[in-house]
Amino acid sequence: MEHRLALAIARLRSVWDQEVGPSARRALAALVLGVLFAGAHVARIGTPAMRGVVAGALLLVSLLLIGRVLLARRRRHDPRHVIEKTVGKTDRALGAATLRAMTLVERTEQDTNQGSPELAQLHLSRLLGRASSERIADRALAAAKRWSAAGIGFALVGVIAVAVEPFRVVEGLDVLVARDGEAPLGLTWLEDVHMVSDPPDYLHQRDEPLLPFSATEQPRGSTITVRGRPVKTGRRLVLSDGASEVPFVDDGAGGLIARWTLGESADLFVAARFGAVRVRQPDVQEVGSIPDEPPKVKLEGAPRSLRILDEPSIPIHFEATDDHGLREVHLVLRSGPREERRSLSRPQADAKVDRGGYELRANDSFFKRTYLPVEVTVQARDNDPIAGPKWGKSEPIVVVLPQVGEPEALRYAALLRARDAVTDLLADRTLPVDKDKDKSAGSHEKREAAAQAKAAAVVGESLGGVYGGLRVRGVTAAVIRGQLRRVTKALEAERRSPGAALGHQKLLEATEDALLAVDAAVRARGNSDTRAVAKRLADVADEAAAAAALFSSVSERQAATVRLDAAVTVLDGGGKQMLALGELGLDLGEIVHNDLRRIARARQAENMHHAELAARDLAARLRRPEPSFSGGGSGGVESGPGPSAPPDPNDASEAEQEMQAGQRELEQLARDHADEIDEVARALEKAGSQEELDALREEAKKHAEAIREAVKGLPPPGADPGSAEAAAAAGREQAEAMAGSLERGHPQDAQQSGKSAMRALSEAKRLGEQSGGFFPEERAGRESSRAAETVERELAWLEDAMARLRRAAQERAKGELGKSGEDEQRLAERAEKLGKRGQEGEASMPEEMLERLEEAERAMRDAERSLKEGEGDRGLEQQQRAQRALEMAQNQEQEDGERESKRDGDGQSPATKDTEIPDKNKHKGPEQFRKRVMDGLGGASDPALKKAVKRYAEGLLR
Amino acid sequence: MRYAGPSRRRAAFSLSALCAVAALFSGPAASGEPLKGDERRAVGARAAILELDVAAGRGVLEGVDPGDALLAIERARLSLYEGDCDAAATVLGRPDLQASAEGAELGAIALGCARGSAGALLVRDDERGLWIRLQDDEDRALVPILTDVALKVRDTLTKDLGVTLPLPLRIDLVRDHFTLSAMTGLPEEAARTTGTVAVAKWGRVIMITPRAMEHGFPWLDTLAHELTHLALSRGTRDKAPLWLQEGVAKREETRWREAGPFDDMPSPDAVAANGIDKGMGLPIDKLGPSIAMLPTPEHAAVAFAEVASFIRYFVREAGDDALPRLLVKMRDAADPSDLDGAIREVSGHDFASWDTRWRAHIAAAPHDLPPDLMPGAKIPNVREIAKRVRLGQLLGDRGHHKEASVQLVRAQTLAPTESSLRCFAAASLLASGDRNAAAPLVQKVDDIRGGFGRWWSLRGLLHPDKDPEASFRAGIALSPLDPAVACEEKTAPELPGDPIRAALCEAARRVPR
Repeated sequence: MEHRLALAIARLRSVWDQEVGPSARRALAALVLGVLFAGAHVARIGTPAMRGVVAGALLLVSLLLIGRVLLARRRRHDPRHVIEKTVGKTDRALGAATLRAMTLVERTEQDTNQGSPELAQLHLSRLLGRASSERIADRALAAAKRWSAAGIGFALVGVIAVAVEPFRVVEGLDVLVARDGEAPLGLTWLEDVHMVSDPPDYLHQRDEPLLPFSATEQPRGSTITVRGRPVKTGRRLVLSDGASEVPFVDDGAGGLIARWTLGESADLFVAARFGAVRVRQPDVQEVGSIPDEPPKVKLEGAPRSLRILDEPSIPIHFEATDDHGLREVHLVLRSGPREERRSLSRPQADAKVDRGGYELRANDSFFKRTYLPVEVTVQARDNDPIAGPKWGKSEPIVVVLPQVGEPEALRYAALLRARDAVTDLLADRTLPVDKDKDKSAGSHEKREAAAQAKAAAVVGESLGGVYGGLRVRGVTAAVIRGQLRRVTKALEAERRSPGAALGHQKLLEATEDALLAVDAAVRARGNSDTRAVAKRLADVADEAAAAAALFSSVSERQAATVRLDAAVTVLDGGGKQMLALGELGLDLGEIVHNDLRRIARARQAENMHHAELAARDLAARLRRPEPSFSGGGSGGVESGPGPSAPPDPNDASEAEQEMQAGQRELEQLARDHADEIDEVARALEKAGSQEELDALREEAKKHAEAIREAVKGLPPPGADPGSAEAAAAAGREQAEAMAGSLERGHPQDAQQSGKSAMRALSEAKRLGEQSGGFFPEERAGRESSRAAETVERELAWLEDAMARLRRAAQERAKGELGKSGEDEQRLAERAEKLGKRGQEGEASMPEEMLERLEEAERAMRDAERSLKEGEGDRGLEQQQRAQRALEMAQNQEQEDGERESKRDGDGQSPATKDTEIPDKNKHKGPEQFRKRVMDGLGGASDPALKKAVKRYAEGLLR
Repeated sequence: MRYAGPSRRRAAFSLSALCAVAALFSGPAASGEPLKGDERRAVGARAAILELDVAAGRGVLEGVDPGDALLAIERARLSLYEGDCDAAATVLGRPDLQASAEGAELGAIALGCARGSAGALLVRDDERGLWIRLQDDEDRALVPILTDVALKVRDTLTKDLGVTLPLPLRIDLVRDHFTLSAMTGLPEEAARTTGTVAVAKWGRVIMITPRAMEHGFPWLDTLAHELTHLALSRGTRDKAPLWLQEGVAKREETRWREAGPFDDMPSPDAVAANGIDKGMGLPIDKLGPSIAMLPTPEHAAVAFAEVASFIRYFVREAGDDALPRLLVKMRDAADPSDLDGAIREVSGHDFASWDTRWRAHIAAAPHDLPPDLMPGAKIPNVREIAKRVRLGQLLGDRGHHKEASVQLVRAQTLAPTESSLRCFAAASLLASGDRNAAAPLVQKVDDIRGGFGRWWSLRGLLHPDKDPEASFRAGIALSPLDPAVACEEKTAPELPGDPIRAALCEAARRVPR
């Protein structure tokens, strides 16, 4: 197009733009600001959705503006658009003609056959010249007005958005551009800030004011209180360490307050929360957290390792300390996966130091249940309620336990030494008398005595020893002691008739029998111990089997290997110890070792199923701790003439069985005698007359009144403990209880309370005298003294009345007491017979046992006489003396674990006599126990509690 | 010892007719549900197994339906006969089999066997055909002797009974009554009561090791006895009655070796006659499921004497070939009631007739027995003897040999024919240095009425002119793990010249004492 024509068109465009352009730009600017300010309000809500909406709106507006600019630029260079927009809008026909003329110009320029280009340009130039600039300017003005109106509208929106609260726009924009929930621009939210630190209660420390936003260190668990005045109201302020936050709340005085409980060290700051966005205040409060240290425990001698066989008693002395306070101290025993905790102390009032001691013994129940080394520690717990209680632990004492059966093997070895000593003694006496030796010793008798003393010393040492917590007790000890006594007696007999061959022969025979008896007892002990050890090892074999079974699980294989190795080690050790326990031990010990070889072979072949089966087989075998072969004489019954059978060593002596029978008889005698005591007590009780009791109750009412009158001036309870007033109050209570019992017709209770009252009143009198004239104390003492006179008088009356009642009851029970006397006579005869049997032969009993039996017999005879004479009370007393002697005779040689082993069914040998089962009507044990409990607990000194205690006791016994 | 147990008795019936099979397998099933399966095949498999023909049994069971309950029982039985207790236990672990009486019974035995044999030492001699499983490794030293004797017995049985035991011969040497019971199903209490030392069951000899007894037992004769049971089971398809089993086993237990001085001491005829006189004898065809289950060892001794005497009489009267022929007839008998017919066919008389004739024979035979050999007899002065022996042992253990010998000689004087007492006294005198006094105590076989391991070894030591090798051998046949016997009275570290004996001596010295 010719330059002239282009200028004409540009002129037309300029006329339009001059009018419309400024208005349009202002309107668009207003639009942008309006959207921004309004969007800030929406963005301030802070939720991701709202922030997204605002961001989207702003983006849209921006895109629109950019699009408009690009479009405007393109249209500016399009003459047709300019003609349409300017000429076409003001003169439609001229506009159309101009556009056609422009088309003609374009065609003729491309193809001259279409016409003359010059003429076409001329035509267009004329048409452009016809366009009215004024009309175009008018039209543009109208468009500019519309833009201006829109601009004003947008500007109004923006102004309103700002006018509501300009700061909100700032907050909104801050929130809008937040990243990761944190706004980039810090704003001040709180002013006039005050801070206080409140340490946790258990520390018993005072509050501490803090200099705001200055670094500080506070005990863990402290509460940091932040108080201040909000710069802007209506904001949701929080106190935060960046990870967690606590809200500020109204403090009721126009301010805000927040409390922060200090855990780990933290940098605290104030922030306003807008939805998911937090706008921080630039100030930071650094707070270092001082942790509560765990207690420190010192265990004397730890760390160390010891063998329980060397130290059967382990003293545990500890000192536990804590920075703030201790709650409890435990003794912790740990062995493999097993752990047991025992409370050693519970310090009061948050003590910071606690010391104490404990004694662990070889026979501790924990040691009995494990075979692995035991780690002993003392652990103390503090009182930290913030981070939770913490345990401090001492260095350990590692206790190496004996192998299973080791104590038994040691004891058995000691018994063998005793047996060897008696064997040597017999050897000395077996061959004809050696006169040379006798001469050098002074005389035959002296030499005999010296040899015997030597043997007795060895035996005594063996019997007195402690072997890994075990002693030689029970039937074993009784047999050996009894046989020693027997030999001593024979030696004395020989000494009384020196030079007589018969005396030496008798001594020799006694020594032979004694040796056989000792041998029988020792072998029985060995067999019994073997059985007990076998049962313990059976559990270990089961553990080995259980461990082998776990090998099928790959994840548990490592742990199973450790368990299996441990069990095998224990079995190996236990099997070795069994080998030292006599014939049965040899047999079973060999089986243990062989079966361990089977387990090892299976393991080597990686056949853990077989290892498990072999272990189970061993466990089952050990649970049947019988000899490998028994019965049928020498075996081979079915396969031809069996070999000549040597005699069974068990046939050589029955001392052990005899002693067991004797002990069973003694037990039975003690039981029967206890029943007889019950019979007498019941006869006396039954003989009490209800009428006499009623009469006594009537008479007692007057005495009760007198007692109440005497003590009514005494002070009531509530005085300081240890004071005369307190003692007097107790005396009053007891005296009133005595009165109450008298009224109810319970003379025994009344007597009991009366005695307690006398004790309390005497104490009050003593304290009053020591008060140095201090008025209330002195008065309490004085009044107590007066009251005591009355109580004492009434108590004497009561005892006299009770004695009268008893005498009358005895008189009535005379018949029954006579019968009991006869029973007592029979029991005394049994005791005498038992004692005589224990004097000599295989059933020889130890001296102490015989003495107790004799004492019991004497007391029974006394009781017999008293009962026959109708003296029930005295008879009962003598019976009780006899019972004590019987029980002491029983306990003389009571095995430490004898009852336990009997319960387990691995007692030494089966009873040769059926055990007598007490008749259910005759057996009074439970009834007697009940009575003892009721008497014991029912006699509580505090009358206020007496009934409650009695009810409690009844509940226990029900 | 032959212990049949309820399953074996039922087995006899199983072969009589196919229709009986259902009853056989159903039994008193725990759940009441009879086992189902291929009955014809099961009967075939069982017949082969009972005949100890495990290869044939395996062939029958080859490729069968694993779910077939009847065949599963037979598969388990086959495993037991092959000594594979694990496999048997696995098969019998099936709930349907456990619910049946037979399955439960077999299952318990298979489990007991698997437990007792787990990790045990298996010694196989494929060349000679021996399979010996040792529960205790230390018994390995016994294996060469066991092997020799087992093969000798096998040859003897072939000759005497016409039955050749298939190879390998299987022997389980167990440690105690506990395992013997677990592997065989024989109640432990019964085994202890009668002193049972071995049982032939499941195609194997299951025997207690001589180490279980301080002074041993005639373990080699016992092996022969039990192998005879296996041969009889094979020869009769397990249909031989108990009296035949035990009677023939008693006869064969000594025939593998040269006769010994105490083989007929006491005479079974005299013991049986005295036992019957004392009312301890039972009708020989009514001995119950096993002699091991008789109430006392004395009853067992009389029962053994009865059946031994009966078989001895039968063979003498009917001829040496009567037994092999009887076995063949029994094997072919279709029903247990035909056994009587088999006896008649072989000997011309039925069992009742033989019983009557035998009773007449022993009634006429000499009843004389020394009092100490009478059934149930106790050694006189046993308490005093026991005292002296024990005192002697205690004194000897402390090195007071002279004093010990005083006690032991006193004991020996009280029972002069008791070889153990002679042995103890001799050993003590020897230890005290009095060899001259010791020698006569172990000199003459006629002085004693029964063997004792160390009596023989002391005889070998003190009387080198009287075939000491035979004495040592006799000692080992009784007490192979007594160090003095096994080591031919040599003191450590000296060993016998023979390597097998040397190994035995070393093993004996390792036995904890």
